[in-house]
Amino acid sequence: MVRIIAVCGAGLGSSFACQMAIEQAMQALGVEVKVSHTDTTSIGALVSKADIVCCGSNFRKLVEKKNLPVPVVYLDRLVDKKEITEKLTPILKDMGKL
Amino acid sequence: MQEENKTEVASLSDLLKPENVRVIDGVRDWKDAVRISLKPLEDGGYVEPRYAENVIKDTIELGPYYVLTDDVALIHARPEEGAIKKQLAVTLVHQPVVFNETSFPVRILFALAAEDSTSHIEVIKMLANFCMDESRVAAVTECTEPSDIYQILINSAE
Repeated sequence: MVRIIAVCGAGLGSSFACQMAIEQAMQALGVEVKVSHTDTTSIGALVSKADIVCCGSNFRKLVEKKNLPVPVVYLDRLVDKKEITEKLTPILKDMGKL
Repeated sequence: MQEENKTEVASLSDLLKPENVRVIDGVRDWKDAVRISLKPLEDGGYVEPRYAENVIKDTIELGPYYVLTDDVALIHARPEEGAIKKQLAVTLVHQPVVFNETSFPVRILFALAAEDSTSHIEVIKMLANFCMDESRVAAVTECTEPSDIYQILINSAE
């Protein structure tokens, strides 16, 4: 089981849509995941419950400053299964999940 | 009207009303786009006037966090920034809107009011299905009638 948290500014719109896209992309890869969504201010407290964090590229500077202890994937298109798959695949391979 | 339970999951037909789907030619700038996209929700009493101004303020601070993919934005702020009741509106702008130099030009503006982080799940499911099907996105950008857009979106829920 891989735990992924999608992050956006408000934590209920873009990140929620991103969650749906991650779930579909991971289902296609055959990786068992538990995906949730939150906002950029809460991620610091919630990151202990995540193996991977996904967020929009516009948050790169903000999120890099937080030095999160898990891999962070920055997405140009939050709902693009192809981009999600391409960026998550090497991380999942490193984790031995693929 | 009965008081709605906030955690209750609402159906898509409750959350997207045909009269809140609109088609316009263009906007002056991205701030205008934010205000125009939220106008149906403001008129319907789903958001306070400050909601649009908060989206603009957050955009200046964070960048256009609501641009989901090419041609699609989901304009929204946090519940405490002036949302009253969950609802979605859609505005098709035939002249693409550019939110900043690094984001994709957008013609389909979804505007969302949410009361919490999960009870509008039916809207998000539809949106995710819609965005992941490029042919549907392309079909909406070609529309001239709001009723055609509404139908494509409702069909995206399945």
